[in-house]
Amino acid sequence: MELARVVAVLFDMDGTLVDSDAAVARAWRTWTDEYAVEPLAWVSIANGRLAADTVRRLQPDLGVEAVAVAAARQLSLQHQDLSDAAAAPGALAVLSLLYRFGLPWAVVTSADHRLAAARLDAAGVSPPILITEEDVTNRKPVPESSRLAARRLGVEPEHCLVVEDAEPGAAAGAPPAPWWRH
Amino acid sequence: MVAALKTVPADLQVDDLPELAQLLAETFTAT
Repeated sequence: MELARVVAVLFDMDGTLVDSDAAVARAWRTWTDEYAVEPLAWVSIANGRLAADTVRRLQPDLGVEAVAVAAARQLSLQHQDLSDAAAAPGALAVLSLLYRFGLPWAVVTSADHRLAAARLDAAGVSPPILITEEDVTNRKPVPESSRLAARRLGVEPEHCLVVEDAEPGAAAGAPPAPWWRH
Repeated sequence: MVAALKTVPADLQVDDLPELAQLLAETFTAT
Protein backbone atom coordinates (compact mmCIF):
# COMPACT_ATOMS: atom_id res chain seq x y z
CA MET A 1 0.00 0.00 0.00
CA GLU A 2 1.37 3.38 -0.93
CA LEU A 3 1.51 6.02 1.77
CA ALA A 4 -0.70 8.24 -0.36
CA ARG A 5 -3.56 5.73 0.05
CA VAL A 6 -3.42 5.90 3.85
CA VAL A 7 -6.63 7.41 5.23
CA ALA A 8 -5.85 7.30 8.97
CA VAL A 9 -2.95 6.66 11.32
CA LEU A 10 -3.00 4.47 14.43
CA PHE A 11 -0.23 5.11 16.92
CA ASP A 12 1.04 3.02 19.77
CA MET A 13 1.63 5.12 22.89
CA ASP A 14 4.68 4.15 24.97
CA GLY A 15 7.88 4.33 22.95
CA THR A 16 6.07 5.72 19.94
CA LEU A 17 4.11 8.92 20.63
CA VAL A 18 5.14 9.18 24.27
CA ASP A 19 8.65 8.82 25.63
CA SER A 20 8.05 7.15 28.97
CA ASP A 21 11.15 4.97 28.93
CA ALA A 22 12.68 6.44 32.09
CA ALA A 23 9.48 6.11 34.10
CA VAL A 24 8.94 2.56 32.91
CA ALA A 25 12.52 1.66 33.79
CA ARG A 26 12.19 3.15 37.28
CA ALA A 27 9.00 1.18 37.91
CA TRP A 28 10.57 -2.08 36.81
CA ARG A 29 13.75 -1.35 38.77
CA THR A 30 11.74 -0.97 41.97
CA TRP A 31 9.65 -4.01 41.17
CA THR A 32 12.63 -6.27 40.44
CA ASP A 33 14.18 -5.17 43.73
CA GLU A 34 11.01 -6.05 45.62
CA TYR A 35 10.57 -9.42 43.90
CA ALA A 36 14.26 -10.38 43.87
CA VAL A 37 14.39 -10.61 40.08
CA GLU A 38 17.52 -9.89 38.05
CA PRO A 39 17.34 -6.09 37.58
CA LEU A 40 17.41 -5.99 33.79
CA ALA A 41 15.47 -9.18 33.09
CA TRP A 42 12.35 -7.20 32.14
CA VAL A 43 14.07 -5.19 29.38
CA SER A 44 13.71 -7.68 26.55
CA ILE A 45 10.24 -8.82 27.64
CA ALA A 46 8.09 -5.94 28.79
CA ASN A 47 7.78 -3.78 25.70
CA GLY A 48 4.31 -4.15 24.19
CA ARG A 49 3.10 -6.60 26.83
CA LEU A 50 0.79 -6.27 29.78
CA ALA A 51 2.47 -6.22 33.17
CA ALA A 52 0.90 -9.55 34.09
CA ASP A 53 2.36 -11.22 31.01
CA THR A 54 5.81 -9.92 31.84
CA VAL A 55 5.47 -10.89 35.51
CA ARG A 56 4.45 -14.40 34.49
CA ARG A 57 7.58 -14.73 32.35
CA LEU A 58 9.85 -13.31 35.03
CA GLN A 59 8.34 -15.34 37.85
CA PRO A 60 7.02 -18.56 36.25
CA ASP A 61 6.54 -20.22 39.63
CA LEU A 62 3.97 -17.69 40.84
CA GLY A 63 0.35 -18.79 41.01
CA VAL A 64 -2.50 -16.91 39.36
CA GLU A 65 -3.30 -14.79 42.40
CA ALA A 66 0.34 -13.98 43.11
CA VAL A 67 0.82 -12.91 39.49
CA ALA A 68 -2.18 -10.61 39.80
CA VAL A 69 -0.77 -9.06 42.97
CA ALA A 70 2.69 -8.64 41.47
CA ALA A 71 1.28 -7.13 38.28
CA ALA A 72 -0.91 -4.76 40.27
CA ARG A 73 2.14 -3.62 42.19
CA GLN A 74 4.02 -3.02 38.94
CA LEU A 75 1.13 -0.98 37.50
CA SER A 76 0.84 0.95 40.74
CA LEU A 77 4.48 1.94 40.46
CA GLN A 78 3.88 3.17 36.91
CA HIS A 79 0.75 5.11 37.90
CA GLN A 80 2.71 6.86 40.64
CA ASP A 81 5.53 8.01 38.37
CA LEU A 82 4.68 10.41 35.56
CA SER A 83 7.47 12.81 36.33
CA ASP A 84 9.18 12.84 32.96
CA ALA A 85 6.74 11.39 30.42
CA ALA A 86 6.93 13.60 27.35
CA ALA A 87 6.00 13.67 23.69
CA ALA A 88 8.49 11.65 21.70
CA PRO A 89 10.77 13.59 19.35
CA GLY A 90 8.79 14.42 16.23
CA ALA A 91 5.44 13.37 17.70
CA LEU A 92 3.85 16.79 17.79
CA ALA A 93 5.16 17.55 14.29
CA VAL A 94 3.59 14.38 12.92
CA LEU A 95 0.27 15.11 14.60
CA SER A 96 0.34 18.66 13.28
CA LEU A 97 0.79 17.30 9.76
CA LEU A 98 -2.10 14.90 10.18
CA TYR A 99 -4.39 17.79 11.13
CA ARG A 100 -3.05 19.79 8.21
CA PHE A 101 -3.75 17.00 5.74
CA GLY A 102 -7.08 16.03 7.32
CA LEU A 103 -5.97 12.53 8.27
CA PRO A 104 -7.73 11.17 11.35
CA TRP A 105 -5.63 9.42 13.96
CA ALA A 106 -5.94 7.41 17.13
CA VAL A 107 -3.82 6.01 19.91
CA VAL A 108 -4.01 2.25 20.37
CA THR A 109 -2.24 1.05 23.49
CA SER A 110 -2.02 -2.01 25.70
CA ALA A 111 -1.89 0.27 28.74
CA ASP A 112 -4.96 0.73 30.90
CA HIS A 113 -7.06 3.86 30.42
CA ARG A 114 -5.91 5.55 33.61
CA LEU A 115 -2.22 5.21 32.78
CA ALA A 116 -2.71 6.06 29.10
CA ALA A 117 -4.72 9.19 29.88
CA ALA A 118 -2.14 10.34 32.42
CA ARG A 119 0.85 9.78 30.15
CA LEU A 120 -0.82 11.36 27.11
CA ASP A 121 -1.80 14.36 29.20
CA ALA A 122 1.75 14.69 30.50
CA ALA A 123 2.99 14.57 26.90
CA GLY A 124 0.49 17.15 25.67
CA VAL A 125 -1.12 14.68 23.29
CA SER A 126 -4.93 14.61 23.00
CA PRO A 127 -6.01 11.79 20.71
CA PRO A 128 -9.46 12.00 19.10
CA ILE A 129 -9.79 8.27 19.73
CA LEU A 130 -8.04 6.34 22.49
CA ILE A 131 -8.20 2.55 22.60
CA THR A 132 -6.91 0.96 25.81
CA GLU A 133 -6.80 -2.53 27.24
CA GLU A 134 -10.29 -2.14 28.72
CA ASP A 135 -11.78 -1.66 25.24
CA VAL A 136 -10.87 -5.07 23.85
CA THR A 137 -11.07 -8.73 24.75
CA ASN A 138 -7.98 -9.76 22.81
CA ARG A 139 -4.80 -7.77 23.21
CA LYS A 140 -2.04 -7.15 20.68
CA PRO A 141 -0.83 -8.97 18.60
CA VAL A 142 -4.48 -9.82 17.86
CA PRO A 143 -5.60 -6.84 15.74
CA GLU A 144 -8.86 -6.29 17.66
CA SER A 145 -7.70 -2.95 19.04
CA SER A 146 -6.53 -1.63 15.66
CA ARG A 147 -9.77 -2.75 14.05
CA LEU A 148 -11.80 -1.06 16.78
CA ALA A 149 -9.86 2.16 16.35
CA ALA A 150 -10.46 2.09 12.60
CA ARG A 151 -14.17 1.52 13.12
CA ARG A 152 -14.42 4.44 15.56
CA LEU A 153 -12.57 6.64 13.08
CA GLY A 154 -14.97 5.54 10.34
CA VAL A 155 -12.28 4.11 8.07
CA GLU A 156 -11.36 0.71 6.69
CA PRO A 157 -8.56 -0.91 8.73
CA GLU A 158 -6.83 -1.95 5.51
CA HIS A 159 -6.21 1.72 4.77
CA CYS A 160 -4.73 2.61 8.16
CA LEU A 161 -1.05 3.17 8.77
CA VAL A 162 -0.08 1.53 12.06
CA VAL A 163 2.94 3.00 13.85
CA GLU A 164 4.52 0.92 16.59
CA ASP A 165 7.81 0.31 18.34
CA ALA A 166 7.10 -3.25 19.48
CA GLU A 167 6.67 -6.49 17.54
CA PRO A 168 3.32 -7.44 19.15
CA GLY A 169 1.88 -4.11 18.15
CA ALA A 170 3.21 -4.21 14.62
CA ALA A 171 1.76 -7.67 14.25
CA ALA A 172 -1.58 -6.33 15.49
CA GLY A 173 -1.72 -4.03 12.52
CA ALA A 174 -0.88 -6.69 9.98
CA PRO A 175 -3.78 -7.27 7.58
CA PRO A 176 -3.47 -11.02 6.86
CA ALA A 177 -5.22 -12.12 10.06
CA PRO A 178 -8.71 -13.45 9.22
CA TRP A 179 -10.42 -11.30 11.86
CA TRP A 180 -8.98 -8.22 10.23
CA ARG A 181 -11.56 -8.36 7.44
CA HIS A 182 -15.14 -7.32 7.93
CA MET B 1 12.71 3.19 21.77
CA VAL B 2 11.48 5.88 19.42
CA ALA B 3 14.37 5.16 17.08
CA ALA B 4 13.01 1.74 16.21
CA LEU B 5 9.52 2.43 14.99
CA LYS B 6 7.71 -0.05 12.82
CA THR B 7 4.81 0.61 10.57
CA VAL B 8 2.28 -1.61 8.89
CA PRO B 9 2.51 -2.12 5.98
CA ALA B 10 6.12 -3.08 6.50
CA ASP B 11 7.31 -1.46 3.29
CA LEU B 12 6.78 1.90 4.98
CA GLN B 13 9.07 1.21 7.93
CA VAL B 14 10.63 4.30 9.44
CA ASP B 15 13.30 4.77 12.06
CA ASP B 16 11.67 7.62 13.95
CA LEU B 17 8.80 10.08 13.92
CA PRO B 18 10.74 12.90 12.25
CA GLU B 19 11.31 10.54 9.32
CA LEU B 20 7.59 9.72 9.26
CA ALA B 21 6.80 13.43 9.34
CA GLN B 22 9.06 13.99 6.35
CA LEU B 23 7.44 11.15 4.41
CA LEU B 24 3.94 12.41 5.21
CA ALA B 25 4.83 15.94 4.19
CA GLU B 26 6.37 14.81 0.90
CA THR B 27 3.49 12.47 0.09
CA PHE B 28 0.47 14.55 0.98
CA THR B 29 1.84 17.89 -0.13
CA ALA B 30 2.29 16.36 -3.57
CA THR B 31 -1.21 14.88 -3.79
